[in-house]
Amino acid sequence: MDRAIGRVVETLQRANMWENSIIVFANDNGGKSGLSNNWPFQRAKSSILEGGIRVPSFIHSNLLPKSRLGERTDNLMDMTDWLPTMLSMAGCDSQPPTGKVLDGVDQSEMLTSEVENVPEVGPRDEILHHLDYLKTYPHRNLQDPREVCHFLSSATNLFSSF
Amino acid sequence: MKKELSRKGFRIVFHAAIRWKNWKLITGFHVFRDFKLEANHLEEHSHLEEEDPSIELGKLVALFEMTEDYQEFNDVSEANPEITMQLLGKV
Repeated sequence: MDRAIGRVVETLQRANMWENSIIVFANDNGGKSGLSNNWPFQRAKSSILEGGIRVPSFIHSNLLPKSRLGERTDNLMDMTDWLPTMLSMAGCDSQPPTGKVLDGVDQSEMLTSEVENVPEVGPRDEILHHLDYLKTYPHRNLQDPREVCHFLSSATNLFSSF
Repeated sequence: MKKELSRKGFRIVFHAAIRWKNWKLITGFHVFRDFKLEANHLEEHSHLEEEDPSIELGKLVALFEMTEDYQEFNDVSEANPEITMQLLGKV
């Protein structure tokens, strides 16, 4: 992995694109059970305890303020935030032109502000980690898919009629 | 609390997890599984599958305060019914 990332970096440098690039290293889930150590958190990939969902990420760019070098933030960020964040950092509109709204939150301001201006609470205060209407009490899946359609189509309160 | 939960309309038998500020709420069978309950304990509850699962309400919801208890050892849902209800409302 180190070698592969090194090759990406070297290629960007050779192409004179490095100064204008943003490198993000992100994770989609915690390490797999038996193969990794997610200490200090409990559990592993596929769990909704922190060992399965809380992961480190880092961002590197010469475009970021020098005061942020080596700094860390514990603000909430979800994987879906990277799209609007990167769009915004690239100077684009962070939302798609279709009028549809992305789930992700634009975190570019939080990531690019000088270290003394980083807010204690970031733009995101909530993450829906998981919501699965097909899995219910011990290993029982809903048998009739129409039930799911029914409450998916209920616009006012997804679960009130169920 | 049992009545209040059902009035809200969210069925806590569904698997769900939400983080809001320093709070994290988990519902559904995950709560059992992730608390590493012994196999016999699960067996003890397996008959509920056929019955109304809501009779075990308390055990299908867990709430954690993530700043202090980031290892998720202490379910504080009973001690913080307002936060619990608020997060159930969100999911």
